[in-house]
Amino acid sequence: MSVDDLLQKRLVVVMGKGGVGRTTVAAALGLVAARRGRRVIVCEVGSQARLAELGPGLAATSIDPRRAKLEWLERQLHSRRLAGFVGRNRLFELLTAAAPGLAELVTIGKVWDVAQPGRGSSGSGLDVVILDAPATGQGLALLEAPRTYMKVARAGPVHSQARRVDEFIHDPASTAVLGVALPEEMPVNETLELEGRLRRDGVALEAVIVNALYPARFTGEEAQRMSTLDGRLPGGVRAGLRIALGEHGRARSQRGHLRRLRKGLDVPVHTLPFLFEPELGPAEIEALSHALEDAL
Amino acid sequence: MIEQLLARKEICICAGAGGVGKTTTAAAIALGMAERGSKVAVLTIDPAKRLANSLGLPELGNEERRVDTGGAGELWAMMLDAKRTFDELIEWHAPDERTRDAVLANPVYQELSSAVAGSQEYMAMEKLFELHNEGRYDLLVLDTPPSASAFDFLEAPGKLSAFIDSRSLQLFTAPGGVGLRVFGRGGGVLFSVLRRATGIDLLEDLSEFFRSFGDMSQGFRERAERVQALLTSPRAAFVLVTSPRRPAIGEAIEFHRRLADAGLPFAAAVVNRVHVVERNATARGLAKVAGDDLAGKVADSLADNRQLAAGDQASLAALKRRLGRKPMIEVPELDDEVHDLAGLWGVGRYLFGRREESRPR
Repeated sequence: MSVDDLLQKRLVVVMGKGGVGRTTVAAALGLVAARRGRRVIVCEVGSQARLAELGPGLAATSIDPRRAKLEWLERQLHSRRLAGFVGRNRLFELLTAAAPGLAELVTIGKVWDVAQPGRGSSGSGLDVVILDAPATGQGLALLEAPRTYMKVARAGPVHSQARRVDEFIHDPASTAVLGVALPEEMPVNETLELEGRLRRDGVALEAVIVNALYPARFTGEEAQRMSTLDGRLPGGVRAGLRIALGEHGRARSQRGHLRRLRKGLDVPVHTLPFLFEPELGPAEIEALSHALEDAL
Repeated sequence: MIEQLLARKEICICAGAGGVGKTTTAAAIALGMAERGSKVAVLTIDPAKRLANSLGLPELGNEERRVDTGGAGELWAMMLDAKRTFDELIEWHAPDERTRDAVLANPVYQELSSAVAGSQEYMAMEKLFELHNEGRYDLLVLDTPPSASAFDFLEAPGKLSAFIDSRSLQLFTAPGGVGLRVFGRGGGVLFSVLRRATGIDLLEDLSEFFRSFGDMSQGFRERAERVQALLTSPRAAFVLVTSPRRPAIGEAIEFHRRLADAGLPFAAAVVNRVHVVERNATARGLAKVAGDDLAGKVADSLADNRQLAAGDQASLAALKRRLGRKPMIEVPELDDEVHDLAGLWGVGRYLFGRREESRPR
């Protein structure tokens, strides 16, 4: 799969465990898409607004579940006034909170809506939407929501709406999932589980991006030499060697996990370099977007 | 250090954003306290088997299991199954079998009890409360559910119990209740709006839910109040877990503020995986013994790692300023990942101080 194949999809869902850098990858992919002439928007759920800080030049939006629900009501009730009235009604809010999976359906429905090709004034006019999904469990719940909901709402307009979203998610020409992992024990385990789960759900996992891979700065032979340099060296140099050996150890253990991931997956696994920066800002995201473009 | 902070505590809650090492921290605290003679139980909700594996168990279940630590106290661990805990709670509260079955089969109940967001947090508090009431342990350590944000943990249980105990909903959905009186029989505007918006005849399920819940909701309310009282009491301690990365630190600062606002007792912040480079570390003079090439690489590695360490120190300073006199404990980036008791013990050295180094293993 080439980067253009991936960006041909209407929706790319970036998914992974908490803290592995989903937002970073989503933002970098957004920059790649824009450079390649795709009209793109990167979507996050909730109001964290992290994306705006990461890519000032990036088209980003945040799906606010409350607002999405109001829009949903408008559509279902065919009336803005009625939607506004019941949407602000506390009782109604409590009542709909009890509808199984409605919140997730509304959220993914909004994503689907944004990802529709331009339809006159109602269309978003976008080529591709990149979704910075919530952490694994909640992200999966989002993708499964339409199917779950169809079991509860067995007929009627809501059922058809859920079915359209569900078909869209399960159509590999429209939707792809891009997994994000770190080359560490737990994130690799979770990514392997994620792949199995997505396969059972019939959603296409296109590729996995392994984030923050340490450089292979030292060869095995060099590490061997460093560890045998004897104790006659000054304390400061020994401390320096400890840092270098520590880095080498991490780089090596990361590669072990990376191999394990590659062995366990049938999809391509790409890597992004670890950046020795205390904080990732626009310049780093830009750099990572180039690395991502080359890797894909 | 942690030992003194938890000396008279019965509950320790480890909270923080996803991916910052909450589970490991909770396990290391529990292990350390057990080794110091306490009878401790650690509760996790993380379905991954890492905690189980690092404790040397094949897997964990909804019941506590004894972990063999060879120490003075006792360490027990369990992995919370939120749905099952919720069901057990219903079984416990239900006045008879019929009510129990009606609630368990109700679609509204099934949604509430298995929703990914909310039920885990709620049930974690419930289990904690139950175990605390039973009084079998000196200390309970809770690893809070994985979520994007640490705040979910504080907010979710309240939302759920508010729903169960919602008087307006109960009144509204009761047969002959306000709903029917205001909107007329069957064809009320709100009913039809609700049906149109959700595609399901929720009202029937809801009134059934509240009808069968009936008197039980009183018990739930009382329980929620007692959980709240326990959490705000000096018997509880919140440990805030974070990484030194900027977004995590920002959230930790905010979380600390909200704990204080909510009157919840804050014990300490634990910052995991801090990059540390000794001040005197250098590659100067290395070329003579190792050659220019290798010495150059070591110098590069040092410069890169110094930059990370400086960034982490700046983050830590920002957190420290906000914490005031409250303790902040740093755990450095360790050379090995933590995946067994020895690894947890290694983390514990930083949490508890150094005296353990002499402990044979």
